[in-house]
Amino acid sequence: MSDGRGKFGRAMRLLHPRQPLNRPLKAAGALLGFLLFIAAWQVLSGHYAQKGQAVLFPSPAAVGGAALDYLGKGPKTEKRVLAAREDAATPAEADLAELKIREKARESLEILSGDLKISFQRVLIAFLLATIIGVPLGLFIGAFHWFESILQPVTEFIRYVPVPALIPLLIVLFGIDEAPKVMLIFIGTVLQLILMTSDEVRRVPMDLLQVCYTLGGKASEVVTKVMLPAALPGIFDALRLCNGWAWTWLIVAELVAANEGMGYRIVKYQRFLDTERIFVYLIVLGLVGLTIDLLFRLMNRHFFRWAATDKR
Amino acid sequence: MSLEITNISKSYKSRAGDVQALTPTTFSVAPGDFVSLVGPSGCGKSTMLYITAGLESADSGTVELNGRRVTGPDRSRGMVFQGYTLMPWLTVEQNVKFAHRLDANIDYEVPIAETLTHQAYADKLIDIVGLSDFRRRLPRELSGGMKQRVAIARALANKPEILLMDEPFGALDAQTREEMQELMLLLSIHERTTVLFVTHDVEEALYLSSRVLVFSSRPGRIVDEIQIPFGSNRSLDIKLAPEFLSLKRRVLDQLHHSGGRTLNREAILTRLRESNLQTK
Repeated sequence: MSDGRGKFGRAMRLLHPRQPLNRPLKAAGALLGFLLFIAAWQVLSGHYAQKGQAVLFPSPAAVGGAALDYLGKGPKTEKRVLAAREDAATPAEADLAELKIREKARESLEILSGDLKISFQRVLIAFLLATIIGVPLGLFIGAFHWFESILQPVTEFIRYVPVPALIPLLIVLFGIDEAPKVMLIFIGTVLQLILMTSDEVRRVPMDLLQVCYTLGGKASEVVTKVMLPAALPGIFDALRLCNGWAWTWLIVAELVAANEGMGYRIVKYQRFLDTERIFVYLIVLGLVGLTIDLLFRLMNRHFFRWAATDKR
Repeated sequence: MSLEITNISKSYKSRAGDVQALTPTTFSVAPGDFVSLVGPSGCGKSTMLYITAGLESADSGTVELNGRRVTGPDRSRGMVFQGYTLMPWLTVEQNVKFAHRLDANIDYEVPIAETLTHQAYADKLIDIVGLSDFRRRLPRELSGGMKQRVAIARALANKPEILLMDEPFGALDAQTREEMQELMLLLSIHERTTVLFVTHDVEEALYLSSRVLVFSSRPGRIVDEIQIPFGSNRSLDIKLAPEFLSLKRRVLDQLHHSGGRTLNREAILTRLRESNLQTK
């Protein structure tokens, strides 16, 4: 113990539950996880390549190459440039051909950013709607039993209707523009948000409400000045989780009926058997989700320092 | 008369039928009095306090404070709870001044004495309870004793007509508890606070109070009333004085006789003998 190695000695410690891990080891763990993931990917793609079906499941390197092609620096772009230059009769013609190829690469990057933009917009609108409607409803359900008795059973019921089953109805009602996609994401997240918000509000200790009353607080003040601020970190965390679901429902909506957006493009690439680009899109989706999640975590830590649990 | 409790009774519904927690109980607390309710757990003493606060309803009887019938909680009766009840998102200072955020206290800038505003009074209280260096700290950074000091300052800052305390030092370690008792005694005397105090700690009750009401176990009723003879400048040492100890003896005897004990020396010894454990 006094040698600073903790209760069980350095190596054995990992075998005991809840033993803390230092920062370098944690980072090493994360790195190892990603390496294992890429190794498994490599093995799997090798398996397909052996059967001559490399196109069905591209290797990490091929996907990396495809990603570089989006930036106009990938192997395929260079190959095309080289071929075009060889075919060209004059240097001027060769330059023109190269320019065209590079222009094409830039165009596909523009398509990607356009898809990301429209998808992000859909998620954002639906997410804001869900927050504006879900958080107050959750607060009321968590605060007032009579409100809970009216709304809780019916929201529970709707929550168990599988959201994708609503797509045909949404298309009938809202057409195929933005509205049905936003509605699908909204319905998919708002009910979860109501449920989680009300749970957080219910968890606020009765003692705190009673303190407010004995200091002269009115019922409305108990809700707005005690229950809401006390539940806020939990509500913020619920929003973070809802963001994850929002992106899931977005793709579902775009797979069915859309003419731009991340989900739409993935289906399109499927038709062309362009699995490399599908992988690029998947990676972009993962990175966007991770970034937003990280932002939520940082904001949570910044705004709600008082609620941070001490790491042990 | 300050606080008048008349025939307050309370029973709870349980699966085994109604459980009477409190038989009709009557007592009063005069201005400046420090009255403690002692008794075994489940004797209804906390229920009594919550009814006085207006946080629970009684089955019968009335609570009157300075002639006004109590119908619900308000700022006339401040309360200090057993658990730590600070708003975790507010600093020490913000917690003590929490009442200033409420509509009921819109008159806070009005002086309570010739030169003292509520703001300034709250600041003074933070000093008095020894937390001036911790004004900007969050509750999570405080020890249990400090948290309760904030809770006491918060309740007093509201200038309540009576302060209700529900086992406020029950969760503290023995040493901190004694410090808090001394603080509470001096504070209540200096500020002439009327206090109704609930505890199961007989020593605590005798040390702090001007009067002690002893409750029997469920259903609760008052079985003894003790006027405490010690002056207001008593120190912690008084706990070792013969008079103090004989009072303690008297209360403990009453608590034992009033039942509610499921474990006693004889029963334990009998069971140990019967089980005939051959360990070692």
